[in-house]
Amino acid sequence: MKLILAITAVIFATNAMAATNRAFVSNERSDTVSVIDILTNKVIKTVQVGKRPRGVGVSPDGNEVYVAISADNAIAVLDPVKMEVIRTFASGDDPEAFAIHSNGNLYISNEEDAMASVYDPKTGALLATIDVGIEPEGVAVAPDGTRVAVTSESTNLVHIIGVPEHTIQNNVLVGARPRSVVFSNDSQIIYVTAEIGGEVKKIAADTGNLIKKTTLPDENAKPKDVLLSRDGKNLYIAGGRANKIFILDAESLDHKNSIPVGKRVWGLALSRDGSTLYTTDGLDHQVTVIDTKSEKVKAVIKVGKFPWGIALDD
Amino acid sequence: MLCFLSALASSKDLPLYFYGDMSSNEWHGAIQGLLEANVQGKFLRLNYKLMHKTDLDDVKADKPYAVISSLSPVELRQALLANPQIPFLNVGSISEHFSSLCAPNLFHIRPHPSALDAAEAAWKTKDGSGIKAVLWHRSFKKYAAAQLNKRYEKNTDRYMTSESWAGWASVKLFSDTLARNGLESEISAVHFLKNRLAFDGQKGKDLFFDDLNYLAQPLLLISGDKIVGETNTSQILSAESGSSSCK
Repeated sequence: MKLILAITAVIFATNAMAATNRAFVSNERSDTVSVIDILTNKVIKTVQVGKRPRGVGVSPDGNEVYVAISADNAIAVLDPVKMEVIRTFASGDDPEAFAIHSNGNLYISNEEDAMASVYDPKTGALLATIDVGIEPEGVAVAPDGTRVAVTSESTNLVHIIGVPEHTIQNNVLVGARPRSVVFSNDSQIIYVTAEIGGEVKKIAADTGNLIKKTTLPDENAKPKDVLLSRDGKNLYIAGGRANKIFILDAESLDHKNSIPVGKRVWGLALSRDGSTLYTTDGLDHQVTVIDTKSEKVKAVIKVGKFPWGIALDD
Repeated sequence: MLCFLSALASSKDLPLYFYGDMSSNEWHGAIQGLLEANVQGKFLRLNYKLMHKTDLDDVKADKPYAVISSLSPVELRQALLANPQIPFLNVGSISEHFSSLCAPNLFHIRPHPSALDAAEAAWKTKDGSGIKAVLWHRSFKKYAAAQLNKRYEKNTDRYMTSESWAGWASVKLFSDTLARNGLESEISAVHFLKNRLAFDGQKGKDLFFDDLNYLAQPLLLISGDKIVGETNTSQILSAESGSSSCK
């Protein structure tokens, strides 16, 4: 068994490229991706990708970057080293956000079709579709790979879907306009943001039961992305038009701190070591870089128009 | 397939009655609301049925979960008072006669006229040009309004107007109320609507019923068929309208 694991590790190491230490930012109204060198915090290239790029992610082996080009109904695939589009594949109508399973498959929310779809990005093959609520958006894959969660904005539900069977296990009514979801490190809990009420809910992934909920302490808060710190203790929440990142205690959902960033912050990405948080500030056309230990802003980087998503290859 | 049929069989049918013109924008909007409510209902095993009715005596006989109406206050008065546990959602225009019909179970989707006047007057002070305050406009894009406009146009081959938005909102806010409150709740739907509603009308805010049971909501300011501004909310206090509270 140990030998098999060792061989697998060698094969993986051979196939996986060294990290480029780059951030990939989708600019919704420039139809581009800005590539940032995260060691210097400078934009090193801007890549034309297609119409209305939104969700963005890096493959588990680090060899490819995927960008949902919503108005082209496709996923653009970038080479993170060459920083160019190497292919695209059709992904159903209006792909908005997606999450990447450890097996490499993409779980995509198709906003106009009230559907989640599963694609193999290597072949572009559609593997499954799952009916969900109206305007699906946030997608998360459990770290153990056994579940996927999808939020539907206009139906106010989070759908918990079993993998690999791709059937819905639970539909959980949450606050108005749920936009993003994340699993706890042990895959047992999901955290969901709801934009209209400025609400965050903590839900048991297996039963769909509510554990706790809170309202963000700012009447302008319209939360979008949510991420968990690497140690699982803190939640980072993009506060939308509150122009802040909210830090909550992941256990109690108590508010711990707020960090002012640019206008209409939506997207979040966390470095692999957990030391740096990146935000996309749509109305200021910038990315803010935050040191998570001091909880201070350490850089602001201008990118394209209305940056939406961000993913790191680090 | 058997599982699917079994799930359908266990869905609860929830009749909503509609009184008004079936060729109206309010009706078409309500149908759009029904389609969307039943997407949520499919996952929660709730099946809403919108039934066009003409005889108000049917309300007392059948006890629907809610009444959606564009009838005048004179026509509604008797049915309203005879069925205090049933919410009546007025999607029609607001006449002054409604202020004398301040029933706790009557909820207005359109704002109080004084709120519209105030919104227009405030903007005219700044701008000076002809401004009209409306509930909705086909070119509204923010807060996923563009997606709602697109869905409605695709299904009806019409633009969504303030009237159709009112019809859509009436079904959506009531279905969300039933889903959140539960069918067996000790809290009545009337109480929930009055005190707990936080409805996403695709306007970027929680919408709720104000002191006088008018839906407090951002309004769009239109000049030359273009959106030139938005108000924060149409909420008015009962004292401002010269009417007493319905609470």
